[in-house]
Amino acid sequence: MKKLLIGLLSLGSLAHANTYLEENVHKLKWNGVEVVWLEDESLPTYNMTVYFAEGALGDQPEKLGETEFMFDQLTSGTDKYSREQLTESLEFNGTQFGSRVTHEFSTFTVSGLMKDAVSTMKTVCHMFTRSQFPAKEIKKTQAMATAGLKSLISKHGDLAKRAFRYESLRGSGYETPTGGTIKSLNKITSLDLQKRLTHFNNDVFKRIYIKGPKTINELKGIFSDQCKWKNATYKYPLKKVTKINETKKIILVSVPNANQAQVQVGKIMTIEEVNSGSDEAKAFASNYLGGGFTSRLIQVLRVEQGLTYSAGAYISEQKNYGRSGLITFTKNETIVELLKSIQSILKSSSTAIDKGHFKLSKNNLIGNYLLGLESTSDFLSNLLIFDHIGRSYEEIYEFTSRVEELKPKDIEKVIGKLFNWNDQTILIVGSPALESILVKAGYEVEVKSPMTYL
Amino acid sequence: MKCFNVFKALKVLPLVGVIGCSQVNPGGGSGDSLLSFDVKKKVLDNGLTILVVENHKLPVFSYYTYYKVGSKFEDPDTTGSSHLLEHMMFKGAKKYGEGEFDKMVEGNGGNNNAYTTNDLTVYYENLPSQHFATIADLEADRMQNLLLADDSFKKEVNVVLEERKMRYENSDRGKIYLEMMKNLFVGTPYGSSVIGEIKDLKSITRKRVHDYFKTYYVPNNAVIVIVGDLKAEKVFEQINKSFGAIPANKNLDKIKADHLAKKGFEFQAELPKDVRLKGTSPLPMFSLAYKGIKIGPRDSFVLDILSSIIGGGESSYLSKKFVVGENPKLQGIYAANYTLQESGVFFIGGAMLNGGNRAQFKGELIREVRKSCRKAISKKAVQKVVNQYLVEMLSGLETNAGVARFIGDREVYFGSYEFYKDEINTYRSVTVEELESACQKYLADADSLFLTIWNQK
Repeated sequence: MKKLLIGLLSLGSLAHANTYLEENVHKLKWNGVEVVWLEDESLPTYNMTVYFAEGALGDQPEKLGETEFMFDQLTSGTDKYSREQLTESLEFNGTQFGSRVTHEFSTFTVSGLMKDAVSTMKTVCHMFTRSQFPAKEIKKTQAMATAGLKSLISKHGDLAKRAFRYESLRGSGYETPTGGTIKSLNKITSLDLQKRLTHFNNDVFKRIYIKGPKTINELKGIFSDQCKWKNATYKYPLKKVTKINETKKIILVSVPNANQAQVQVGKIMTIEEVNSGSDEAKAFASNYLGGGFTSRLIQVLRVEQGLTYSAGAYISEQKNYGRSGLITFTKNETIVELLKSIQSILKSSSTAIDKGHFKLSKNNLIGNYLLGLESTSDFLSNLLIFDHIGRSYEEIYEFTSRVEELKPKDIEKVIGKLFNWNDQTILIVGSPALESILVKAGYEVEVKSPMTYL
Repeated sequence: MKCFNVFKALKVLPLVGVIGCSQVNPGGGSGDSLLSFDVKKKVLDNGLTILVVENHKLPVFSYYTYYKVGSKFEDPDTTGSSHLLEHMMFKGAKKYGEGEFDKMVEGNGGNNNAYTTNDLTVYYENLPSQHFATIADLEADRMQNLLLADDSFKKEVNVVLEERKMRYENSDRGKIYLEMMKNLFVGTPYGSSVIGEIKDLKSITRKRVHDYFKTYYVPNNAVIVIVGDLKAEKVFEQINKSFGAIPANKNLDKIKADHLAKKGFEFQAELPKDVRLKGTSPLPMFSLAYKGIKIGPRDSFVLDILSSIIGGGESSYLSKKFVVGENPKLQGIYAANYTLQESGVFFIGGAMLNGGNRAQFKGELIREVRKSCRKAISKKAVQKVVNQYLVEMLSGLETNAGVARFIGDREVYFGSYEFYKDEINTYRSVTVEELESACQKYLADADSLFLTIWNQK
């Protein structure tokens, strides 16, 4: 690894990256299923993620959330074992497991001690092939999920995130959170989940990502014999986002007794915006605006003005759409000052980036790229994303040299395009009193109930 | 040429069988340590302790500074001083002025942060290795010559007030935790909030914070842990150069001992007690707290295991009773044994599935906790917990920062970084009888504090 990084840092040599790939990242086929194995002998542990080329977009329209529900309930019971027996079996070894469902793809991850990998995988395969999703277990989970969603009213940051998704992605097909709504979740039946699981087992394209020592190859037979996963090829036909939601109003999600305003500013990125401009410039832009203590948002909003404790920016892309935005909060009395400051930061960052700030942000991005390679589990997640969006692994190793080539104008261009104030959806979760403060300052405000988003 | 796969400093001994009855590879355990770190330790003449672990996997390093001072050393009218000082440590010193610290770290490709607890204040940086000397210089500069400029001091108080709102006033979970600590540790320094009372934060002066800084931010109150692609001898050389001339506070031990003796950490709370808080959650959240013990004694390890047996994970006793059982009453439940340096609290928390009857639920929960002393504890349950701890421990060691925290925590909390060698074996040696006895003593026979928070009274 060091050999590679020194190469990249001093020479920008792709040859070193290729050597690294050849030496440590192995591409295998287990019974027709693609496997990406990151060989890592440093700890007696493993981390395995199964990628499925379908996500929440494949949910039935009136049963949104069923894919996430299905993965979440894989431990609810099989024809042989109860929930209690399954969780006891997995938790006994200290196995950590969980799923992640995005709109475009899904993953199931298991990690633990290498010595327990075979027995754990047998249990996982048993769950995938024989889960029954017993009706009484599903009913209990629906009650819990309903309670969890209702509780969002008191978790203002989480509520803001959820509501902002609805507002900024409205009409795109991606607006409903992958977990569904109270209404849609309660329509899902055991049969729906069984059908969904059968589809994922038999039809959906899979790729396995494993980090671990050489002995990981002992798992090869288990996936074919126990999970019976073969070379399924179906990939959900993803919807391309071509139009953006435009609103000139500030959406105020009114919650009682809030003494802080949670602020989300951002927009959906169309497929054209995803495909145009370099990923390095986008990563740079979000780092420059809100990636650390020296970022513009923190420097101005926190250090210079004392308006907030935290502020961050993001530009995240999936295959056919993306999202860009800012997240912060402030006290009720300073909401207008905060919004005006953000507007001013965005304007100056799209027209006149300071050279000193630019250099600092560049060095920071390159150094943190290096630090990001420390965790091989995180590195494996990056490989998965690169495969999903159809990029070559080599681009990962070219990242630093590509960042080196960026000029302030490249970043101004990205910020100008993605963070143009007039294109942003602005959503605030906070006290009803904010309405009059915002209206008085000249903003057009639409007040909504938090229940709208549950 | 160095190999990607070798974390030379971290030698992991064969695991098969060591952690007991794996269903795949059962076998006898050797009882040997599972991990072995090649730690180099040095204490400078001024009392500064330095621990170094070389790891040449990547050209990066992590630098942790533990100051053995936290909110327990504050006075009742200056709560939040430790945490405010933590913020101010990024606001400039004599050589590296205002704003320079973050610029130097981030501008050299790194990241940094800090945290404050009741017992400690910890600062950390992660950077490419070539910048090690710069970081040592920055840390030494702020240890001896912090500016505490008036203007930034005032602004930072506002930032902290917003942080407090985020963590407590606007969070039912935060509010219930804060009230639990206040009520259980009433009359002791652990009863104050780490972030500080609003009135204290608004009235705190620069001078008080400066005095606090001069007393506690001294080499003989600090432990530096460095892990990464650096040579230990060079590290010691540089640290000596940067910190060697900073004088120790010769009165520190006495000041700390006097303060702690004066304050006292004996429980003064009168239990049983019920506290009902008004919040915003549409469903009640609760916390059931018992008087615990400080970190270190054998019982603290016993209670760690007990907390995991009764409330760690879906297969734990209370989860099966209240969450995944036939008639679930809760959205989720957890148990924690929070051990501090002078005292501790054992608590169970969760959120109800519906409004229900809180008094009735409290009775049911307490009865189940008592029953758990007889029904939940078994050899298999202990083994499960030990397996879980081992996985958690190993999964935290992928990065230099993880190793630095691992080593540093043990040096500061247990007096020796080498404590890890006995740690897992200590947990493994805990018997069913010890667990039953501790469960009876600390939970079943003890009175409790029950708190709920809801949007209704």
